[in-house]
Amino acid sequence: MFKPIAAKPNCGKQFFLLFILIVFCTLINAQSRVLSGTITDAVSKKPVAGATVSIKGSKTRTTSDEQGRFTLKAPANATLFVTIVGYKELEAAPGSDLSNLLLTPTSQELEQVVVVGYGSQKKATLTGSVEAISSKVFQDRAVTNVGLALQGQTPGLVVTRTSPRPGNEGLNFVIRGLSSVNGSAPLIIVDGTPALNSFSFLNLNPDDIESISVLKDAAASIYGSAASNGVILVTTKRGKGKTHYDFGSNMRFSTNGITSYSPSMQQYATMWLNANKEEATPNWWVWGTQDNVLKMQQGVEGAYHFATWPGVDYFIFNTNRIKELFATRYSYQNNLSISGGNDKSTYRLSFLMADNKGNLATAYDGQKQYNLRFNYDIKLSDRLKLETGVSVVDAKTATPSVGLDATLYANDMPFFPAKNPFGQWFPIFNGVDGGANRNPAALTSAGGRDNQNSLTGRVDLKATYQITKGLSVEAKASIQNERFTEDKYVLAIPIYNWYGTKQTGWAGGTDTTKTSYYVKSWTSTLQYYSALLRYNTTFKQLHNISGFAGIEAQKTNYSWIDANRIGFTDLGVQNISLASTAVQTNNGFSSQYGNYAYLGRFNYNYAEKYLLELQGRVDGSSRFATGHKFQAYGGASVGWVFTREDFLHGLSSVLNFGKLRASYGSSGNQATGLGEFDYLSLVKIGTTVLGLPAALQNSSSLLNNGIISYDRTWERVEMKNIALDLAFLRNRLSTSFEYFTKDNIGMLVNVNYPSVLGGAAPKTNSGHFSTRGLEAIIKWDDHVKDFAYNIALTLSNTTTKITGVQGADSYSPGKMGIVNGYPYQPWFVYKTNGYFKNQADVDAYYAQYANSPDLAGLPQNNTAVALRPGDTKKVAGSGGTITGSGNGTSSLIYAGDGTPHYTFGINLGASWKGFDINAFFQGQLKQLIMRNGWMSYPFNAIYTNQNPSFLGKTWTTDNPNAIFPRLTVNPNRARWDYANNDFMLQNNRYIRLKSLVVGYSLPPSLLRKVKLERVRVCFSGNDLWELTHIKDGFDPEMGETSQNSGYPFARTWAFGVNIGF
Amino acid sequence: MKRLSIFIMAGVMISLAACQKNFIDISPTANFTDAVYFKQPGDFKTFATGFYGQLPGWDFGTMDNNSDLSANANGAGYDIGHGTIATSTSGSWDYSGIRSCNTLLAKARAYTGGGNISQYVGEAYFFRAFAYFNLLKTYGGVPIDTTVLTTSSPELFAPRNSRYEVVKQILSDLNQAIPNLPAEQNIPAADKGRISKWAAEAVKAQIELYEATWEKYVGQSADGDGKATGGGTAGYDASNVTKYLADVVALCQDVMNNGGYAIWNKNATSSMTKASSWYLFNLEDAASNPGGFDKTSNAEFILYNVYDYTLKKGGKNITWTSWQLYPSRKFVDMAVCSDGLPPEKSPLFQGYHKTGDEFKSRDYRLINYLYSNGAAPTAVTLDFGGLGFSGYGNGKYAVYGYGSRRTDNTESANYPIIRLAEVYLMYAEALYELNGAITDAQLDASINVLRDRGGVAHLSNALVTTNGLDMLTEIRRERAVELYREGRRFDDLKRWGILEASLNPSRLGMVVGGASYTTSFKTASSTGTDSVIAANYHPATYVFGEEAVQTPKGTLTCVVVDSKANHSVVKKHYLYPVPLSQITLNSKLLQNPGY
Repeated sequence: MFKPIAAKPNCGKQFFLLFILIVFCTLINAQSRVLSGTITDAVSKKPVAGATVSIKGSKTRTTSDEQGRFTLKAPANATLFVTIVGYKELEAAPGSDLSNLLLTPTSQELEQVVVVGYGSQKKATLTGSVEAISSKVFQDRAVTNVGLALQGQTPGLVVTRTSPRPGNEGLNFVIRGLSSVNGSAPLIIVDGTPALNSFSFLNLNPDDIESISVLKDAAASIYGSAASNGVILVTTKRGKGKTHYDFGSNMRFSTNGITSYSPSMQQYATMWLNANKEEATPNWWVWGTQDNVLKMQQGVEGAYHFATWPGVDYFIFNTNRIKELFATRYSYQNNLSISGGNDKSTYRLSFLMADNKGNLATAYDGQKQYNLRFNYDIKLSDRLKLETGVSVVDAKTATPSVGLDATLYANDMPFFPAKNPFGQWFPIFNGVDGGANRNPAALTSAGGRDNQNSLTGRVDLKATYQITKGLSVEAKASIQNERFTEDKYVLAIPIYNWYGTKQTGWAGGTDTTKTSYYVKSWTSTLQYYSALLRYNTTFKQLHNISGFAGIEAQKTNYSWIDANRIGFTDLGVQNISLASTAVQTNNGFSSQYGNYAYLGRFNYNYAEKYLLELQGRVDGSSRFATGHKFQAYGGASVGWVFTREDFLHGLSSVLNFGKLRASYGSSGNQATGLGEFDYLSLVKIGTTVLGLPAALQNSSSLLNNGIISYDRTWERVEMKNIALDLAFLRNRLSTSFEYFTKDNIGMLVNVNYPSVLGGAAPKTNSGHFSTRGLEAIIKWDDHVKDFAYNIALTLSNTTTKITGVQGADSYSPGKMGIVNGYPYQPWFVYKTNGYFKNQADVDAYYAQYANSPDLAGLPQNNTAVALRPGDTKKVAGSGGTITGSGNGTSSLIYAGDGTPHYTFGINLGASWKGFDINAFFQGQLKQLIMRNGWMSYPFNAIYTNQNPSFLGKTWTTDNPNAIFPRLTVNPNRARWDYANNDFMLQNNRYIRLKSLVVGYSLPPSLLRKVKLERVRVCFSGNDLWELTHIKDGFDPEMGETSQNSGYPFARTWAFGVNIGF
Repeated sequence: MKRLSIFIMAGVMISLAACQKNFIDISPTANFTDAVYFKQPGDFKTFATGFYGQLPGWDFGTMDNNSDLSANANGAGYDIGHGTIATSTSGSWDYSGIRSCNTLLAKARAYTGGGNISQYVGEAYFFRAFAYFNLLKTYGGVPIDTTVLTTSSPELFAPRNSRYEVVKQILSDLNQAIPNLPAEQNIPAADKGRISKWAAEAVKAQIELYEATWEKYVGQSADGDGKATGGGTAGYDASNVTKYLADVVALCQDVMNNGGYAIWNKNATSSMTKASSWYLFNLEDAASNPGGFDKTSNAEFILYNVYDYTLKKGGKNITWTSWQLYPSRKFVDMAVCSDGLPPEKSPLFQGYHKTGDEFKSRDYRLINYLYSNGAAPTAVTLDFGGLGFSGYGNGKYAVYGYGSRRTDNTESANYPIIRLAEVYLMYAEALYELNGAITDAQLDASINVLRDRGGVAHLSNALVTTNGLDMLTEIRRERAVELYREGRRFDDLKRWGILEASLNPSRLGMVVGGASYTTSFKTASSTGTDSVIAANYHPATYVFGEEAVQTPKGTLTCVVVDSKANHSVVKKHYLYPVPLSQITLNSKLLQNPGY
């Protein structure tokens, strides 16, 4: 043990050193006599460990050990207090028997204290809709990314991702459905201060998180202009009790989950043969003849000859791109934390080191992350408390700079191995011309690297001064700074034909004159200050009043510069200074924005039975012109704990707790679409090439062509919520049901003026986006002797409707963005009625719908594109023609919307002695999607790979009732047959085993011998199983496009150990 | 410690109390506002430099695809070529460039600073005229706006002006521009590529020729009455045709005599293999042709978009795509033989029996545009393929040294918008349209300079009379051949009033002949009918089959690349329909007749 060091108050570097030294200090004074006792759970009769025993009027305290025993020195007349979360406080009068102090457990669920905006409240008296997520969610999970761990955890928060690549997951958070077309990202608050950006939240050390609260309704109003999409409040762990070391480590393997289809040569050829079989004018594309394709169907590998390239030995092999490019990868994550404290000061110091890799086999594609956090609190006097936090996150994302795109699998047929027999890069199409140059393995492994480093530092200081009992003032300052740097270089890779002859093209088209080195440096700083005056009091034990008022200010500055040089050769050292200076360009920008707000809240409850909360905020923003800067927001909510009414006491054996609550609030959307200085006509400087010899000249233009707006403001969203919370059967069964509405009554939308205006006018606050939704949570928590188990179900659904958007009345085939009177992202699809049975059927169709716009591109006399038996029969609209335009008179029907519906989570847990198991499922029951891109349907384009999952499912004369129309090699007719037709809509319904944790904790009896407090080993898996309704072979979380990288979503198999002492 | 924390608290309180100004009354840190801009001539120059983005550049949409001279299936131009222009999506009703010009002109009127800003004012007038000309060609009459509008300006909901009012406005702008712009000779090297006085004159000539011939051959049929349809006929003056044509002659003469421009004819350099008409369009550095000529040697381009291999590459796979922009047989039959006579009149024309014969003794331009610096191939395999192979190649715009020197998207030749050749062609055409005659001296001063580069005999009144030719047809032929794939063809067909007649026939490829006219593709079989030579011709791939048409060697059978069944061009297609979206927003905009 260190001795306390008497240090002079000092600023600067010594400040933190001092903090670090002080955390190891303990201050124990000599006492007069020794008291000892045992603390037991009144229900289970088991010892209670970790309870705090303190002496009234003194700072002396201790905690109970594993057997519930405690000893402390106390004056003879001492009154003891025993407190621990989850139990009612116990007071032992002087002289009472301490040998068996019985603690009565409270309902954990309802006694829980929940972090809300600018404070915390007891869940039992909460009137707003706030979902609390405990640190358990992150425990043992084999994910480093906080966002991924939250997927499905709470009904109101829908987390989606579009990529499995670490550091590039494309995570999107939506609380209670969308409320705007301009982005609906929740506000993220970490320890009371807005996070600088979403990465500073996603890259938090999951082990540092004490709790996360999600504010879903008017409870968010206190955050004013930024809160309409809800608020995610993160609270980090702080130290307590005796010094505690905690070490956790897990190593994991990620294997390929559902992979996109890579057809075999045989399947690919079968697609062509089957399609041409149906054609009056066959088209074999560059394959030239049916014989060639028949050879492919037989799997003949080797040299082929095509008329397109006379004299060229054209080599074709069966090559599975997915297998070539993706393999099992190893990742790890290590945590270490040291925490502790006494009644004067507490501390927690933590480290995280993690390396997360994507499944790319050809090169490193992942993120390394280092986190350091130091939270230190000190009571400087009885009245003054200082809370500090310092954290550093260093996240390094490294990926190939080129090749992670459609090249990976959708672009080309599976014919071209990565290398020729000489071990040289072998491009697609044998490199027959300059444009035949793709080779994903070459590009990803040798085409250069893109290294991004985000270094975020943050310092928080908060001082609280207790002026009188119940009245305190607190001041807070937080500085966050991110330094982001990027180094990206692109290299030239020579390509060779099968005989080892160098070809004219270069892999990916980057020849030696196009190699480049790019650097970017971005810095942003957020400063945040607040000062609040808080008050709370209780009259006559019944009237509980609390509230606060204060001001808050914040400002963000950012600036960036970037530079590019053309001409770089990688000789093992990568820096822009090593690139050619012949062509170099640079650029930069900086800007700033700020907010200033007055805010306050008032809470009243009568005996924790009748509850009332009022809150308001006036928010000023730098984004608006003087005179238009301030906007007011507010909310009110009420609650009634009806089980506290005498007339319902009779029910208490069944219904322990019941609360009805309702809220109304307004808040703003910090949406995209509002620039930092839109109210000013800004000059934009660019460059134009002029002169002989050519050189860059500065050119300028007016931003938005000089069209500005003074009076537009934040989108304003009004939220209403009504909810019922119930707990039954001694709190074993708890439920919560909520119904809510959100109305964005000032959505920023484009107003279309006649084009003679000469530019797009700024968006105005005239749209209306309305959202209605339901949420339900049902939990069961019980134990039978040593066997404890729990089940939790969450379910939510929202529906949307948009009105008042000028110019958004018409629709065309496919997924629209906004159409007045419809939900967000409505699907308009062609109504179809099976397929043409025979030629007479086709002829009659042409005769009947001669003037149909959609048939104009498929004239009957052009046998290459004319419709034939087996093609889709689209149904005419009320206008009597086949057309995709004209709204009500067209052939289109509204088929539903494209947003996720009925998203759910299922949590199953059980424990017995040291063993525990927890399975968490997540999914959705409805989301209409239609694939787009090359692999969406056969012969979307003839020059690409083909999706073999359609094989055998298409119309032929032998299979007239197939689920898909006939195959055709003509892309125009393929579009008619497949694109935007009703039968192409899929319900992206799925359930996925998001995580499975099986753990074992060694018994305390064993651990005591080795002086350890806790040893736990576990298996933890992510995304190990799913059931999906997707018919065309893609991962349900991937999204609609069929030609993105094909990067498989991974299954993670992790083994972890956790040691505490 | 206590003092420290009090200090921190006090600091926070003070900084908050320091007034909200620091947080919400802040200014841009990296942008000027327009309030402090336009205070010196350099600001006007920089702003005018921004206009150069409005110039047309490398784009397959301006290469006459789907015109009568093109037989490829490149999508650009499909709608006008086939007569399938839809009212929902039609052209570009774009006023953003006009607004930028209006902004500069408004700021110039308010300018009180020193220095000379007249060149930039001239550029603004020029670009405004250029933008209105594009609108005129697409839609006819459009609303005229010469001020900077706001979202509450009544002009937003004004009706269309007539085409005659638009022409008047365009000419007025150019008259303002021309005296303010510098002569090409006075533009410093660093500013080459900026609009010269001559460029503005050439554009003015182009517009006046366009309008004069339009009014002469199309008349007022596309205008509508301005009450139920179209932009109306307000401001029409029948005497303008003559006035405009006389103006064209004078403007062209001024550019020809005083502009200092010269036709880029490097045929005398033996390494250039008489392929000047090919190397001109891929002219970059000294390595871009075997003669070692670079862009400084080009005194032919009058108005062009500057490209540069280092700073601004073409960004389109120009070479690769242009190879597939197959010409139609109509174009191949159009080019004259080296005796200056069209194939149907020339004894030098050798017909189609052997592949490549038809290219013997022909205009270099035909060879250059189709086969670059090489010769026509003597063996061709006719296979329709994905793009509809006509049997003829295209080489115009392809680079020299593809693959080894330049690859796709890196081609960086300047893009020609108006070159001296067109001024010559306009001069000759305007003279003939004005006087019904043209002298040999006038021909020698203009299009015979182009014929010299093409290696063909001069056009003269004697040649026309002796051989029963028509002078106007020959002038138009010269224009079609010289400006092949330079984005003039559709406009020419319209202003000559022959759009329907030219576009509705099938687009044809090579002559395949038959039993009575044997070729490399078909011979007479022993049984007396056609016999396809399978190695050279894959008839099954030609989805539209064959068609017998009039050729310089009589009625012969050709492959069809795009069937006449797919073409339905009618009178209304001389103008695009006003976009429905604009009519919805402003009900005073009347749709063009026929839509």
